[in-house]
Amino acid sequence: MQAPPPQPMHLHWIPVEPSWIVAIGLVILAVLPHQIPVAGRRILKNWIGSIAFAAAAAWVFTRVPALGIAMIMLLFGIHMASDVEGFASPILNKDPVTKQQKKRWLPEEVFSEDPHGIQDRTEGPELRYDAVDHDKDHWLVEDTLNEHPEGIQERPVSDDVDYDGAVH
Amino acid sequence: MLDLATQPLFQLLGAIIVLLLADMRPVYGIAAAIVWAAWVYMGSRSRAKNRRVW
Repeated sequence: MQAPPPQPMHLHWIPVEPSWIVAIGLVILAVLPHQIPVAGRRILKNWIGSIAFAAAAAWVFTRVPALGIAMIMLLFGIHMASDVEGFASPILNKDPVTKQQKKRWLPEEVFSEDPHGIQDRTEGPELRYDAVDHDKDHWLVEDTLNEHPEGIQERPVSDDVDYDGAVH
Repeated sequence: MLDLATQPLFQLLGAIIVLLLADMRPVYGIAAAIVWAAWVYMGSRSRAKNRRVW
C-alpha cells in the first residue's frame, strides 16, 4: 500500500492566526486606553458593560485562550485609566455642564468639544498651603502693587491623573 | 522594575508574553495575566505616590 503523497504547503497571506492580530490590537488598546473613544470607555467602565464584556471574554477564553485573556487585559486597562483627557482634572469641583442645554459656545461646536464641567484651578476651594500672616513683613513687590495675599497656594494636581503615560 | 510598569511599551511587551503563555497553556496565561495586572497596578500606584508637581 502506497503512502499518500505529501500535501504541498501553501503560504497564507497572513502568517499568523487572525485571532492573534485581534489579540495584539486589544492589548495595544489595553496599554493605551486613552486612545479608545470616550463612549466606548464609558460603556466598558459601567458595571453592566464590564460584566457583559467579562462574560464574553470568559466565553472567548474557552475557544481561543489568548484572545480571551487579551479581552480581560483590555478591561483591566480601561478600569485602570482615569477619565482624564488632555490636561483636565478628574475631579470636577465646579459647575458641571448641564447636558440638557441646547446652546453651545461657538468654539465648542467648531472644535467638537463636549465639556463635562468647568474646573476650578484648584481642587479645593480653600487655601491649603501657607496662609500668609498679615503681621509679618511684606515683600516689596506686594507693597508696590498694593497686593494683600491671603495665602500661597501650591498648584495641586490629583495623584491619579494619567496623561497617557507621560513622564513628569 | 515598577518604573517600567508605567511605560506603555513595557506593558505591551509584558502583555504579549502573557498572550504567548496563554497560547501555550491557558492556565499559565491566567497566572501570567494576574501577575501582569498586579505589576501594572503596583506601577501606577508607585508613580502616583512619587509624583511631585511644581
